[in-house]
Amino acid sequence: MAAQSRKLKLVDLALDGVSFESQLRQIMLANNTDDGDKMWVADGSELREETDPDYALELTFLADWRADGISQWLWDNDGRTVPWSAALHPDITAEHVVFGGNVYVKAPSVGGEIRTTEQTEVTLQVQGKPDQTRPGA
Amino acid sequence: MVEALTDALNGVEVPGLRVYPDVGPGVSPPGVVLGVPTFQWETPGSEPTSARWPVFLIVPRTDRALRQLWELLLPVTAALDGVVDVVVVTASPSAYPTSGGELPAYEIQIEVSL
Repeated sequence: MAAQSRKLKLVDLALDGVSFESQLRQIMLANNTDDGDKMWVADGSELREETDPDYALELTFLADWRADGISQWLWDNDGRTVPWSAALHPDITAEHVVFGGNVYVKAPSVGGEIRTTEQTEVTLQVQGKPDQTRPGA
Repeated sequence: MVEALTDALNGVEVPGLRVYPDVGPGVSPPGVVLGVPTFQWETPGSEPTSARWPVFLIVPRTDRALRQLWELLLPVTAALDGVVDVVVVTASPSAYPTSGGELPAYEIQIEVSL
């Protein structure tokens, strides 16, 4: 079977219904869930203790401090819980997947190295396990 | 992939822009030439999984060559980037060798998943 290889090229990203993909440089839905402690039961089989899902949305944007830009939006919405969605490969019907749920908004760190392109990096903690849908299915 | 790139470039609505899907000896500017790609094998299979492809945008050597390059660059890169699994990475100033001498050019680098 030939390898399947794709560029992560088109992503539709929305926070509280506002689209910000035009500034997006990097996106990672990180699964930080603990593995849980290993347990042995009487018949000798191995189990893993259940743990709570722990996901985070790690985002890097080209900074945009205009009034409606992503940097200002994150600053203004610090502390709020808002809906989010990220659609990967929206141009390829058979591979179009959408993740979403709610995130806690956190104001970003500000600044960077002088004479380099300013970026806004933020990690937003996700409530529970994100939903996933396949619109083309 | 060559066919997809050629089709996309043929769709650029710029009068007189010629598309050359191979590195041939004769080029009549303005034109776009697909260069020779670098392939990468990243899985155990025998087929390459990605390629880095030079694409040359060439214009005549005139006193408005720079302006013409700038006018053509964005339509050409937009056409390339519109192909599924193609991403435009860079566009660097270059000189394209022809039998009549070097012509002003941009070397556009694209990366392709195969």
